[in-house]
Amino acid sequence: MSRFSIGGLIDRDKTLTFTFDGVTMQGHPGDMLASALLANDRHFVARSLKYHRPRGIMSAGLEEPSALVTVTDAFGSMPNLKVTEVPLRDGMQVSSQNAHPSLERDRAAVFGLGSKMLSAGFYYKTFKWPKTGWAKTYAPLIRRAAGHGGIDPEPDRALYDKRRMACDVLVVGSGAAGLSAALIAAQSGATTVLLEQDHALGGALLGSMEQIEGMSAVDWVQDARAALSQLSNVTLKTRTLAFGQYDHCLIQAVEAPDEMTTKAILWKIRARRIILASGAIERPVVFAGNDRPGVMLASAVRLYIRRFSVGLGKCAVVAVSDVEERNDTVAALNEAGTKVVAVLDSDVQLVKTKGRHHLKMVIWRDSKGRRHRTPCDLLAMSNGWSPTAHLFAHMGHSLRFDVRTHSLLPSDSDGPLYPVGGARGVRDLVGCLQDGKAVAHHVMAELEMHKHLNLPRAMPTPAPTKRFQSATQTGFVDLQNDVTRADIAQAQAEGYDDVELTKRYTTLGMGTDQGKTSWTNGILEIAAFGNQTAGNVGHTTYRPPYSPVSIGALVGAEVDTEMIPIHRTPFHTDFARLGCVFQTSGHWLYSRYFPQADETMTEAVTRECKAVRQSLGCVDMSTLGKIDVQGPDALTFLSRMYCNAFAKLPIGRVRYALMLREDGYVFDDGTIARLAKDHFLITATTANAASVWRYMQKCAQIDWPDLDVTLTSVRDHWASLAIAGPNARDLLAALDPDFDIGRDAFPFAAVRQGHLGALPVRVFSVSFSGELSFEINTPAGFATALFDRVLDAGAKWNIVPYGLETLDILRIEKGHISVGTEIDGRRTPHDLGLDQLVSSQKHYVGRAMLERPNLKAQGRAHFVGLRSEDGHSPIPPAAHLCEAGMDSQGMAQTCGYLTAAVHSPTLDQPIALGFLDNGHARMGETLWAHSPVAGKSVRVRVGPVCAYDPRGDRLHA
Amino acid sequence: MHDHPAAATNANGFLPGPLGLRLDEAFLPLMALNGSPRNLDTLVAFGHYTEIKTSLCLRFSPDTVLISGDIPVGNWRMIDLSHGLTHLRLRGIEALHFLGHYTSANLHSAQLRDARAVRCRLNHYECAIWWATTRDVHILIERSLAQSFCDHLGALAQRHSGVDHLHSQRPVIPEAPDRRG
Repeated sequence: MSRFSIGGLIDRDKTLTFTFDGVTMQGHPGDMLASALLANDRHFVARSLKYHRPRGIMSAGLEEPSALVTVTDAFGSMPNLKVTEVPLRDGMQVSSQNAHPSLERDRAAVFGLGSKMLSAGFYYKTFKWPKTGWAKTYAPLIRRAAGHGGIDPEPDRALYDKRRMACDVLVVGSGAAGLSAALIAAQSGATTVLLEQDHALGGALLGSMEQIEGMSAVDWVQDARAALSQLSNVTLKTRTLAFGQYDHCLIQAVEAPDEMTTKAILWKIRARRIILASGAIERPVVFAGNDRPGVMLASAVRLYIRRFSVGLGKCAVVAVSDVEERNDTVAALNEAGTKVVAVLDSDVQLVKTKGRHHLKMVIWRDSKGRRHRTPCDLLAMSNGWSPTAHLFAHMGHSLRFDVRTHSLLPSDSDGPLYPVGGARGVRDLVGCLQDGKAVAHHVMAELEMHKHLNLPRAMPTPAPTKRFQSATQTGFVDLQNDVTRADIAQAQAEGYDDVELTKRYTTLGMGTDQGKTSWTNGILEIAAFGNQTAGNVGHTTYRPPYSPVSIGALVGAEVDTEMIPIHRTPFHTDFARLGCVFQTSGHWLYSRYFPQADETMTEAVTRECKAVRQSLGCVDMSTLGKIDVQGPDALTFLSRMYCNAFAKLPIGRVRYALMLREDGYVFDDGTIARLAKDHFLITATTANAASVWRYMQKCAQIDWPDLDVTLTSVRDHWASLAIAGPNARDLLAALDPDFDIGRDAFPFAAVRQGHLGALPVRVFSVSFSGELSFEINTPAGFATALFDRVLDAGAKWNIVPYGLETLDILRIEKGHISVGTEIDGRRTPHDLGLDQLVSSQKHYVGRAMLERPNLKAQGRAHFVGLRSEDGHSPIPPAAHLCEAGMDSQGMAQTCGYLTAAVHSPTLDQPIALGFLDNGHARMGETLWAHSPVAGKSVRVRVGPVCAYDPRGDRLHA
Repeated sequence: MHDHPAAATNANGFLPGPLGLRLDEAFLPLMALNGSPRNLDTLVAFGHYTEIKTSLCLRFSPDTVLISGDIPVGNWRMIDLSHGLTHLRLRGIEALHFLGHYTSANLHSAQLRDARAVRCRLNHYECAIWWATTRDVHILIERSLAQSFCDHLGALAQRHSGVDHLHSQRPVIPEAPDRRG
């Protein structure tokens, strides 16, 4: 164990046990997985993506490029997690990935020997022939050899959630700048949210030995936390990563709560101002062997020693370009008892490292060119810092390469997001504190919650004038993707010199770390090899997420039945009691059929159809849109909305109505019932109910505000049960109506309001089935009472409930149009054979465009009925109509297509509906119905759409 | 039969999870009063609710007031919506705060703390909510969606931890002094 007996921000009173590749290890609360592994002397934890080189833990934050593992817990396994981002939990099972059969004996490590051959573009140049090998051979081969961890094939058992929050000021990051900004904002009264991706506040301060306001940095963090915690207007969220900035001050963040009730919570935080205090990321030095376990960023070395109390090696070499940081690193190593065998100035050149699975030696040249070999097991390196300004750049703002700081800096911001501290290149502690305060005061003034103080802002800290120069072509620029200097040089030489092309050709900056440690070095290398300045290289596009977010968090609770809202009709529980099979139709859970005993769907539907045609059935019609229209101008309004004439519609009568879009095509159909002189109830199809409601609202409010009309959607208020069949009127009589239901008093297409016994009802004599039918509407809370009474009274006629399948067959037999199949957005009333409905005496929506020549042209596809010529061959659904049989290549000229095809239980033969070119003039013709999908071709005869009771006698019985 | 409409949901007790939230359905006779905005302003301001004696007035649309109880004298166009909108009550210390996690509106904004009523989206569900206290929140939702909505609230409630309140800012009571400048 390399854990010191004292010090650090861990709780030694408790011990957490975990395993790595089956080996049991121990850590403490406060540990990250990385620190726990290092404390157990485990540096070598991964293999690299391409060359399968041994990799260790290089950093202490989200920038970690190499140490990716798979973590398994009670909810399943999750691959590709950085050991530096996972807080240690008891029972955690950690396994290495991308290594077979084991991490130490990875067979694919042999790829490292051929690294010169496997350079950038290798795949594109090598796996070209034969073409058939791309998908079948090469892709599986490459994917097996490369790649990271595998996805757990089992369903994720964890719970996820998505929540919203709003605040005045959102502070991202809790280092010196973030905490000082949050304190100012919070104490000024702003609702303040502070996000920190780590489980402890403090950021880099947790590894700092500096003093703030007379106390240690760690104590100052605790003091600031205590001050913020007691304010009710402050929300502190640790383990919460802000991963993207979006329009209108929306920040999305993902929280991994301590309690495992929910594994991850996606927060959508709407802030009035955002202060980005996300710090900076240290840059590695590019030289051969800079990826070996034991080579670490200097800031990580300091943090592991001081925060986690972990010793990282016995003898160390320090290669840090900044003098103060170099001295601080040496001090930290001395605190840890690590012998510092060499402290390298930045005028030396790091040549390479040696060691198989861990660093054993650093070879370097001094300023005079003399070669030195220094045995060691730890190299602390740093070549400067890159501001973490990703969230700033997400909204399209460019970063510029600043020669003074030698890094990509965000430009001066005029809000709403303000980078502060390390995120804008300020490196010194005093500067960060000052910058946080100044920006917080500025933000409060902008929000008119504080007077303008115009505090000066700290200037970005200049980079050291001397830096370690890159050496040898085999130095890794991007450790995660095994991109070397040679790869970048090759890309430049082969013409992929633009930064975007270089990225895609070499994979520089791709992967789970998105180039956090590699981009600045990459830009410098591109500039060097391309003979241009770093400022001219630019950068690729920064997009969310800043760091990977699990799909579970993005989905939240919306899985399975929670995916979409489900509408249920008032009869749902009654139908469920009868064993109804439901199906989703749009957002509705609709009754499909009602099987009895061991009936198949076909048997049940046939029985239901015959019952309706021969005696009595009942069906739920509650899903239809219902809009109450009132006002002196209600008739005028509806007259403009619908294309047919109904100005003379008497009170108590109902009329079928057709609504067109502005372009003249049919939009929807339904009924208009006149309840009183200025009071109408219109119905719309289930599918178009919401669209019709919105369209009518738009017309009433915007197009014709002069009309005195009010619209109210009453769909959910009314439960609607249609009773259909030859005995429907007898059943209605048996339900004890308090109004006359005789054939003359209550004819077809009429509406009556009254009671059935004690039930308040509206009854409409309309039919979709083609049988005598009454749609009984009652307030939805009385649906069960209505249904029970209908079943009880209807038992005399063997009433059967029926569902959507039967309803569809009945309407196809009758030739009624349906939304989505026949009303498909491309049909005029004439195409559908409904031109007799269209009024020529009034103005209505769609009239002008209906006059277009093309909509009146001869030869348009018309709605027709079809039957198989031999009377028994099933007509394949969705078949194409052709005049000739298919040729030897399975081709035929199409002249139409089917919209519906069923076997009619009533007619006992296959029937179909469809659109046929110039179909109205082709009655009696015989055509082919080809279905390449079903592999069937059937001869069909063209006829009228209505195959059953064409005169409508049964409706008026 | 007339007086006892069937419930639209099975909401009749505590939601799962540690928050101790109770969700119940209660029938609310409700009429929609349509009229000109100027006339309706005399009843209740847009976006607000009032309780006058035995009447409850809700106004989430410029030209419609939902009213339960005695209908004020006037020339209104009225529609009964009692069965079309399901009335749910969510009770518990965390009631409003819990809903606030999922509404597109910021329920803790000064404007809504004053109005104590809002029509908004709660995840995919459009609903109207109002509250006299943050511990007793009333919800109106379309009847056909009500059961699905209740199931959804249950699914969300079990994703919460009993210590959530330690990490998030709490609703501020309307009478609390405004500390902002």
